[in-house]
Amino acid sequence: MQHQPPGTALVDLDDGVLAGRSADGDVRAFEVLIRRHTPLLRAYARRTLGSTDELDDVVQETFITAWDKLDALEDRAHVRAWMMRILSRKCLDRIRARRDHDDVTELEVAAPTDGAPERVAEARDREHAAELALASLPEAQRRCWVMKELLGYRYEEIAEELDVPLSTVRGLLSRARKNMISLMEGWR
Amino acid sequence: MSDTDDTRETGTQLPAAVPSEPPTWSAAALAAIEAVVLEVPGVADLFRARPTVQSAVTAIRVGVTPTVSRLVLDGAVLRIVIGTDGFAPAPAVARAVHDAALDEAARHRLVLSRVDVRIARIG
Amino acid sequence: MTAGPDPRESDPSVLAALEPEDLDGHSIDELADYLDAGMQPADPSIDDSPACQNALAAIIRLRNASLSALETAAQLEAPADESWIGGVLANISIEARAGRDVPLRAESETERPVMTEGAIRSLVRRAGDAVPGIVVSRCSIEGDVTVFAAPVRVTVEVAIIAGPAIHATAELVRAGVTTALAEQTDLVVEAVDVLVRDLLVEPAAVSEAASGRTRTVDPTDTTDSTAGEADA
Repeated sequence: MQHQPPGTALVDLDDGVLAGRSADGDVRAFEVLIRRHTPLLRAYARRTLGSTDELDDVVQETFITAWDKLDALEDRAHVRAWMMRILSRKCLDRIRARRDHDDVTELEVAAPTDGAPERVAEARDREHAAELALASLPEAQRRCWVMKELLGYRYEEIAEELDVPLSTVRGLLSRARKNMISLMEGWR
Repeated sequence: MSDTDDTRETGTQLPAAVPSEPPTWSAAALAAIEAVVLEVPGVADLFRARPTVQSAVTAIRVGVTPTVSRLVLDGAVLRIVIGTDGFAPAPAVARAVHDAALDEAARHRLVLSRVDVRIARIG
Repeated sequence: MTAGPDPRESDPSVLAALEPEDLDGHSIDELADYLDAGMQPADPSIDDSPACQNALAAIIRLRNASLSALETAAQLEAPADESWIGGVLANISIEARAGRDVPLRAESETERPVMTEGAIRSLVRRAGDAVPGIVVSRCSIEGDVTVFAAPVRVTVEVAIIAGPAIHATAELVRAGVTTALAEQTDLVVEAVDVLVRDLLVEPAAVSEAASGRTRTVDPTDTTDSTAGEADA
């Protein structure tokens, strides 16, 4: 006779299967996705917005939006990256709202690039080096790099999201990539 | 219902097909129908039926306050949204709910042209 | 697809320069795009260039390190709080998943019974889940479901425990779903297609594989393999 394993619990299912069930209306499956990915989404929101009271709200809103749009998601296996993109959009909205409120013109804020190569070279491990390198980029470069290299946005989507020309995005990304790789190659 | 009685007394023609005015209803009638529906074997849940735009407008015009009933009366059509227990076959449960609602409405002299039962959950 | 460059091999001195003249005519951005395209269609001027291969490896290492840093930071975040989760759930509506209204048979003029597509999907999900070794992922109904007695086709995507019983198990799903639909709906079902799209990996198997041990089936495990409950 064939070995019949016990029924698989929801918590043991892949993201893709959970996303499929959620898209069909299975709230319990969606709840597993919420528990599984909340820490990562919070970590991303914290890095993007700073440690703030807004973290709970922005991540909560992300899941609520994700539920509504799940039906349209084709690449269900990569639901985590897709939710991070939703979160990123909401974080940007909040950053823009902060700026409007403070009436500050949007400038490319100069990052502490002085001493960045040395700091990166002394990082305790590759992850730490990558964090330091990213933090040393000018804001616009950092944002583009994260959206493309980490979150998987397309160039056009970045241009639309940031409301800048495509050529600007390409230029920023080109510089960001070279800066990041150069800095990382100094780490050993 | 007094409304129907009045029209008979004044000799006004009763509408042949769809009533031109919503029949008089009372919160008590809807509450009674709700209670009866919940007793139908196989009914596990009763959900709030969304009113159509028209019934919402009518309610405002007549000065009706939002009802606590989960049922919606749309003209002469009663809308009921249920969840079944997953055991009794759902089509049979829908029919039983329709029958029970129609009967209870009649007991309250509420004339319905239709009872629309919508099954939103099975089991 | 050609295997990517090994991220562990690199010559750091080659990467100090990242301009096209250093990368056999390719910009770093072209290389990143090539990577994103799965290195298809294959480009020998990149594949055969040591400088390009080193740069590709550096891009991969960097992406991995950055993601890994984020995942490490995630471990420091508190798990989702119950009342906060409640806040999410309170704001999502099943109504959004109701789908089309599927008519049931009306036997009198005062009847107009319908069933939501969402209700039917959850029915299918439950029937499929009842089969051992199976988890339903997505289900869809093709056809003009809003027309009473219009023939429809139901597709059930499943994740299944890998093993020789796949075909038999899929047949159990088909039978279970067919029965459930016949008992609980008035749909005229032309066919139920079962698509095996994912494999389920049991948690025990994953940890054993990671530790290098192979999983042997205990003879006592194979007794009492009850057939799945085909009825919903």
